[in-house]
Amino acid sequence: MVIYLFDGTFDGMLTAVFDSFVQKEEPELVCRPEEPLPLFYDKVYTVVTDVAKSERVWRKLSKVISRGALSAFTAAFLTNRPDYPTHAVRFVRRAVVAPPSIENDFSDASVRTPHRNRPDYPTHAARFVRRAEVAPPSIENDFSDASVRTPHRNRPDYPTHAARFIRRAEVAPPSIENDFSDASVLALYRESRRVKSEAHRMLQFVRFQKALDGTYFAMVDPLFDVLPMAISHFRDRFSDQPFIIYDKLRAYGYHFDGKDLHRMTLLTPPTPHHPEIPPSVPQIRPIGPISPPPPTLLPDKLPPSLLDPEELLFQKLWRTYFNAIAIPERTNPRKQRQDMPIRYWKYLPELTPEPLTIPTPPSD
Amino acid sequence: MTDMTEATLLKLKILAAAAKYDVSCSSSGTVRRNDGKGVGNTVGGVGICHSFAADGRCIALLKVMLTNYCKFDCAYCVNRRSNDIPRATLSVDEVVGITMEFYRRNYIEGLFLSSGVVRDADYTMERLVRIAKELRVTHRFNGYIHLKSIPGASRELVNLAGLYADRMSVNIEIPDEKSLRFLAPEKDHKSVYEPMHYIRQGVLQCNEDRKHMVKVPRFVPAGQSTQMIVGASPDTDRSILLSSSALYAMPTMRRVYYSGYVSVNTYDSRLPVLKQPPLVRENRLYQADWLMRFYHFRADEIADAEHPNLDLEVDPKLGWALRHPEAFPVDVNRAPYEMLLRVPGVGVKSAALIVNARKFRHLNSEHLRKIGVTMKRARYFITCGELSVRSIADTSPEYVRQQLLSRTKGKDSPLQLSFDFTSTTDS
Repeated sequence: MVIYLFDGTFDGMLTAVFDSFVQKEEPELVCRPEEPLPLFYDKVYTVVTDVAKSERVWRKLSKVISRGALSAFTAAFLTNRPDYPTHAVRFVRRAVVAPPSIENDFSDASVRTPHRNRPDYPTHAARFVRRAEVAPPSIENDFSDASVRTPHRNRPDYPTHAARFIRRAEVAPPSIENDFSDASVLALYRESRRVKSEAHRMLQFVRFQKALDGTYFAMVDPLFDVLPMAISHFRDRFSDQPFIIYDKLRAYGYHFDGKDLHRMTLLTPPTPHHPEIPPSVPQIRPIGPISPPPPTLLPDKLPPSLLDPEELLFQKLWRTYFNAIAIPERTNPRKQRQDMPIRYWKYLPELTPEPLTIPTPPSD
Repeated sequence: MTDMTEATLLKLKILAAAAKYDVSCSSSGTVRRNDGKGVGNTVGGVGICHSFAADGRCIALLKVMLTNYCKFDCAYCVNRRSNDIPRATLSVDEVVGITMEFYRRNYIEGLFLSSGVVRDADYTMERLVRIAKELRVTHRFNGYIHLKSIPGASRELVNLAGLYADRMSVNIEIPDEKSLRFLAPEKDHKSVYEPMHYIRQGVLQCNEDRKHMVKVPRFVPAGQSTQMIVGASPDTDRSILLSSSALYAMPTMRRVYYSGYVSVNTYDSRLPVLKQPPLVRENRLYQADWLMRFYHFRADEIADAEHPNLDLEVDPKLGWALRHPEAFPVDVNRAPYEMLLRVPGVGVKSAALIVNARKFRHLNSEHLRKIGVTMKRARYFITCGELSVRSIADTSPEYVRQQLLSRTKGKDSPLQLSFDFTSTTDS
């Protein structure tokens, strides 16, 4: 049994592929050094990460598989399954020796024109072409027919392109990224979906709190390192408000100041100013090495004294709305937990009780 | 935003509770980019559900009524004028302010605005359009806006609303005109189909204009939707599905929603008294709706004249398969995509994976299991050369039905004793 050890980075994994071709062997297990090795093996080889080698593999891979599969491949790497790198290396080894799919041959006009990336596309396109050959031209507007709805219409040269594409596709070898009878392709598909749905959940369950200086702050702790995948959505959506989204577990976050995104790390947890000390007296900071605080010390939400004065009112409005919108006769807590896993609930104002504020003494 | 007070809290509570029976929740269907000068964007593709309520439904939008005063007296509606419930009205500034503040905190994707009819349809519609216009123009809001079109509103107002809203909808509520007149004598289907027609005309006109001119403002880019109440009238599932498929034939109709009737006005003798809403029937209707939209089924295949109501025990696809055993078994390695979709246990994703995978090698049951086909169901309907289970062609629909149902019914064996700890009598 041949085992390759790599350092856990993406470049390391692609370097492992390069080295496996140089040494002309197929590794049966590719894992990080801290993982336990099996009992019996023939050879252990430690991969030294080389960016030049991984660049070569990446360039070849991006020519061979489609954009969708490439995006799935990069997303799937973020998973924490220990058996995944083996599948990934097997997949890349298969992909780079396979003939390239004609779907990516953008020099051909018949590939550029219609929509791709749909597995039932050839069926629809073929049907459309057959219909176009025998029927009068008005079938182009027959939107009840799926073969008309699916591809792009409104182009008089479309049937020509579609027919040429079909003829090529029938004789061309299929792209191996679609070989779902192969365990590695299925593993890629499964892990990429897992990571992408975690990124989608980040879009859903991030909740901002407006702080005193107008910055909107949010804390997250995703299972995988998906904050970079989600941050561009927030940057586009909230481009007129400064915000910070901080990943508790990985000790980094992004700060948008209104113009640019900056990657940042919190060195001390945001401590509230004690209400009995007058603001002019500086607070005592803990003495010790400056390092990111462990996740357990970081609060899930900002403490009430750091919040904008109206923030609690808007959280209360949201809580009221959330409770009012449910239909009591249809209560379904199981579905609520399935769609909104409980590990997110600590960040949601609607599912956490109102924060206790220290009551101000009456002024007399 | 210092004009938001405790009174706003109470109003929001009343008006959100009034709007909760409108089940439309989608927040996708159009892409609105943030051009740098505005707030927010709308994502295409899969919408974003920001939260899930206690009844399991997704909360993607701020769903409120502008006011729950209404001059109509429809039997099935909780806001009818003869009901003695707390009534409230939100001001334009309050709605706009709450929407913007919730949006900035990533609580919602946008606004869903409905209203009871006050004075007349045009007066109410004008207020709704004002809110949408203020959000888009004054606050430069690029998020999702779903406006309900008030039945009976004039064409000019519907056209104006379409310039600012992403989706507009009118609720049919009761699909059969006679039942509608029985339950709501002041309404008729014409007042519902007319605004639908205006919206459709507006979209088609906009598409036509875009062919000739460059800068044409988009009109209701996410199309329209509608809703039907299930269980309030004696309509069969067949008539519901036939009207649904007729509605889907309109190019602008994106979704038809089915809302199980919740017994709100139990004093009214025209309505059935249901202990609980017909949730299973509603689920079967949604499954049938999916079959029509994604699985290339026709409405009269799902519910034909001999079986006008959907079977509550089996899902509609399995029901069709049991009624048409002549179509099976399907050879997984050779059958066309449309036939693969008809196999119970094979969904749209699995069918696409099978079509792709079989180009490379002959698929056997292990491959199918890994792909994600529900083999416990599908094995009676497919053949891949090596299954040991006899398919529906060798046995009979009754046998297959009994096999599949006995799996899903109670897991406890008859030898297991069970005590009813929930009974309230003391012993």
